[in-house]
Amino acid sequence: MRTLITGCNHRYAPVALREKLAFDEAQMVEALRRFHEAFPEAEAVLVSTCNRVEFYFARPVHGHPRIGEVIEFIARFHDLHAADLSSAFYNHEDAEAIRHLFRVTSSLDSMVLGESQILSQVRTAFEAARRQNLIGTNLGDLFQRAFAVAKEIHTRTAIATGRVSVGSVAVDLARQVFSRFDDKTVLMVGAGKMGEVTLKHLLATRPRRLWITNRSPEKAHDLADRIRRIHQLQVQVIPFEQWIAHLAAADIAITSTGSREPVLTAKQFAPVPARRQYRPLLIIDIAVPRDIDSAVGKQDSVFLYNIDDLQIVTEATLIQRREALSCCQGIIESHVTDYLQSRTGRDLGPVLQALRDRLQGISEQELHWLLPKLQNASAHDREMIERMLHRIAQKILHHPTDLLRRKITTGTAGIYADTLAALFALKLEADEPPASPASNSSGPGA
Amino acid sequence: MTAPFIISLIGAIALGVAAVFAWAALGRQSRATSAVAGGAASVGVLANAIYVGWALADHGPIETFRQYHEATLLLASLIAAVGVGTRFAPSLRGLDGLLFLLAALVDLLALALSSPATASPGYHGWFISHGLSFAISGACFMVGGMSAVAYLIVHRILRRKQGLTLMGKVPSLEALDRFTRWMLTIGFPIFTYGILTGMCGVAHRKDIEQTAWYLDPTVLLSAAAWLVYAWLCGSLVLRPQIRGRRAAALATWGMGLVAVAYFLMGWVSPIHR
Repeated sequence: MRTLITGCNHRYAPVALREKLAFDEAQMVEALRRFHEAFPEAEAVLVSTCNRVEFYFARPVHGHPRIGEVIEFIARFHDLHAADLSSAFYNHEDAEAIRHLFRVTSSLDSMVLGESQILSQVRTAFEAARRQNLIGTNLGDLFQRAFAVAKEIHTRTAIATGRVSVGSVAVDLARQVFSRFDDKTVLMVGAGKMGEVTLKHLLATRPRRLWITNRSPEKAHDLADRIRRIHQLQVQVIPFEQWIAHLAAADIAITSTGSREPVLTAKQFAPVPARRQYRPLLIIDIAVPRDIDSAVGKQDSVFLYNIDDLQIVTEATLIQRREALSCCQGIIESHVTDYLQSRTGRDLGPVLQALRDRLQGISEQELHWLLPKLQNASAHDREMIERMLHRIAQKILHHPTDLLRRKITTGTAGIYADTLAALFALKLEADEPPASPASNSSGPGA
Repeated sequence: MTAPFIISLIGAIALGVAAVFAWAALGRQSRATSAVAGGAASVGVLANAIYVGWALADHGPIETFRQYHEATLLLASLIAAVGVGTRFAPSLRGLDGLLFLLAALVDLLALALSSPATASPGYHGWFISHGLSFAISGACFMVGGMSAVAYLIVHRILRRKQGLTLMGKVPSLEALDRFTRWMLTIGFPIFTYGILTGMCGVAHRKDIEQTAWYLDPTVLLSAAAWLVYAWLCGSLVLRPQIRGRRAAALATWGMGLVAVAYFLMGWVSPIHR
């Protein structure tokens, strides 16, 4: 069997194309059903996320589908022209395909390096394919190995540590200052998009109440309504003129106004700490230009972070993850080699058995020809002739068997096995030569 | 090597290993590493507790707690036991390493205090509570002090905005602040009781009643520590500006005073030696 993959991802296909190619749940079931009908002897898994559409499949060496047929299948399913897809699609075979799958499940190929969502998405795709009876020994073993590799990489390396979005860093900061949130008040100053995204992250901590203020009260009310619908939270809109006074009772403030000047100066803030009884106050200022005068952050009980501070953390996380890349690649390479060896070993069994059967058949044929002609030979002589033929067959087999076993570790056993099969006209099951671990890649990803 | 020496060494090594693995577990988030830390800490606590239990059974409570070594082992066990306890509080994750380190240091100090004290007349049953209350309040103040040190470290990280990748791996400021307050609140009344029973001791011991016992270094430092803690506990209730970093700094100073009073001065103190 050969293992192949064709597809596109965020690197090589624009979002306009990816959204045309995406499969929702129902479409995926239908596509897998049609694929199984069209190519009953192939195994397949269809991975479709917002950043990638990939078809992993395994087929007999000289069987179907070919890469072009799969691209054609995808194009036809979405009423597109295959020619339009080819330029954005990459194709990998055998070792490259296996390596690609390991990279995908380990999220080394993701837009956000180290994100964990892709693993569950591939698992879901695998289960969907299994339900459609599209998983056999080949893809079954391969995907199980891919999940194990991803787990190993996530636990042994720093690829999935830290935070990579401003919103999640803000939540981490809040959790580092406060241990509980059910008695905390969040104050949202401004109703900008960026602020809303950060606020939504923060609301996952389930604070006691939320105050929203904005120069335009309508926008504040709109945001409050949206939040109420999603989070079922105590939300109150407060007049913009009073928000500094409300700081005395707030614990976390997010500021995201479009003001060109700071909306809170050190002078305005001066009486607030005493009124707060010096309780800690976390201020996350994600506005550019900044909303909060940096002198406010000099107060001992104030933890002030601006957008740059948050981005430094996300950058540090990404650097940490990038540094872990080489270690991840090493783990993947060792698993690819190990997987190929075990698979080649599994595929070589039938070749060696066929070669043994072939030599044994020839020996028996020759014995049948010779023995009737040896009228005067004793039983002992006959036995010796039989033993001699058996020994010749064993000696002929010894070197190729030994060579093939040694070549498993170099990855070229398949080539030798192919040659043996051709030279001795070996009849294998399904009448096909064994899989070759030699791999090819093409397309934009190659 | 004597039995007290060996026990202190085992306790110190086990708790030191626990501290190292607790910090390693913090960075790697590994269950196996964390389990080793828990196991090693348990070994340290058990070794100390078994020895103290054996001494209690063999010599009785008065003789046991009159010995600095045994009392110090009890102190180390209490600190390490609180460390093990914090492992079950998610909000205090990461504090165990500091407490195990402190307990290991206390265990090492017990090595230096392993020579037996000479018997003096005038010891009574109340002496057990004097020794115990100092051990328990000492443990509370030291644990609270370590928690305050952790608070100052986390506060510094957050204020300087450096090392923020540690976020989520160390306890929050609020959790540390609350824990420090609890330790001080529990420790202060017990410490006060220890001082009162010490004064009872002076009244009962005719051999020191006539001396200038109030100039004894341990007595002086204990009195100073009591004043610091009294002021700190009062301020935590009455003065809102003494909170957060300031309260943590005071708790750290208090811990230092208690440690010096207990270990260094106690060693040279004529009436405590």
